[in-house]
Amino acid sequence: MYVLFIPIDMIKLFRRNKTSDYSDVELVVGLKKDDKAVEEACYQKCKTYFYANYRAVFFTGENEIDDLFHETYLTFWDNLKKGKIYVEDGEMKGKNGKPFRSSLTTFLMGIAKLKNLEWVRQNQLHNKDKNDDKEIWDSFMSTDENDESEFMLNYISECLSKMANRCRQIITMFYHEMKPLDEILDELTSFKSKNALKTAKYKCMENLKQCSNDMYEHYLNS
Amino acid sequence: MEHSYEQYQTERQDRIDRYVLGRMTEEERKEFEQDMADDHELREQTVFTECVRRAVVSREEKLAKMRKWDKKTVPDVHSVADSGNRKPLYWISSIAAVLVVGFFVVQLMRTGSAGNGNGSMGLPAFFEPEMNVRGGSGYADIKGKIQNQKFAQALEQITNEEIALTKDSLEMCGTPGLSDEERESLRVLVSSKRADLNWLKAWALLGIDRKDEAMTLIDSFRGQVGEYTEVADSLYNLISTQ
Repeated sequence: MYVLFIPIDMIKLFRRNKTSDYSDVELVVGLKKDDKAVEEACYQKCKTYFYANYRAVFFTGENEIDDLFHETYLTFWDNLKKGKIYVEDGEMKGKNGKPFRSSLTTFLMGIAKLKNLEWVRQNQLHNKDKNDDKEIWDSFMSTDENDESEFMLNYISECLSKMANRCRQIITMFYHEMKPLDEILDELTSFKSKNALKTAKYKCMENLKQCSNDMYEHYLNS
Repeated sequence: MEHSYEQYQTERQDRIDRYVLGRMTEEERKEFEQDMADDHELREQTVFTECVRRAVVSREEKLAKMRKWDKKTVPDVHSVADSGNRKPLYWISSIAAVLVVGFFVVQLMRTGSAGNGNGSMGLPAFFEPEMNVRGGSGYADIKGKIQNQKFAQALEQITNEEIALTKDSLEMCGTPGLSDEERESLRVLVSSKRADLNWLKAWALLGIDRKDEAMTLIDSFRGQVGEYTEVADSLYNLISTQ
């Protein structure tokens, strides 16, 4: 009946907040298992935390923040899926089986900070010591170097996030959407011929290879 | 020379792409794998291309999921930094809203309980046991039905009471020898009874979700000077803002 009107705000407050239902351990386990509910909960939790706190961690423009978050979360997600942080006997562990004492949100912000640093370096806004945040860099860039493809995948994923939009577009349309070059040519009208598109694609792949090699060099020398 | 080298590399990449994307025939695939065994650079580039494919697919699948989840995000996360400051405001506004609603509920209850000690739904204190009209005791019964959420039955009884009231009033007004004063008293009594029935009808209509009809009735009370004017005004405003 109309006698009792419950304010909508009170309903929202009493509604269970699904993003806080999972502990970090549960999130790590769930992401590894591709649990869809956990995937979404983790994303929402990280997104909320990121936007609430990024201003205290680094400085970036408002126009770039959405892209930065997405790229950060992609790396974060990839690393958890690959078991860079894993759970053993109910305890979170990181590189070399050492206990992982930070929270996942701290790890996320560490990745964001490094990505922002890379962006700043690329744009030559200022010069910083490349050894900054080496520990976090090591934890999320370390890989089993005996597994050649895993090693390359790690750096290629990172380089994909940094490559020019047009290159990423061509690579995505060709290798993910599996479109033939003729179809790509119809969509990307800036290319005048199939050969020009083919050459552009080849150069994009070369840039990607160079980028991932550079990252590996940086890792070796750090 | 450079153009030829680039062209050679581009064509080689074409062949690698066909292998990685599974576009080769069985025969072509075997030949390519034999070439890879003999050519380290070809093998390296093929592994690299496969890694690029896997990385792109993984990235796009994740981005698609993230875009889907972004659409589900209702609050504006760009302003979530202020959410900590907003929570007390939400509590204060919620408590204030409950107090306002509670005030109106208490008002309605008081109006309903003024005469007969009950009125949890703001029902009128109108019942007069000595009332010499048919169906006088039926109003408590109607009220009981409404309180027990038997709204359809209540409406049916209200309709019967209205018919009875009309018949009674016609009979009484037609009685010979009545003074003007007596006729006026009867008219007021009938008018009062009609108001009581209409008020009960409004509640019964609300109960079965015939809100528009109920609001029309409630609005009619607001326009008249009477027992239900104030409470009808409050109820009307309360429902309108819901």
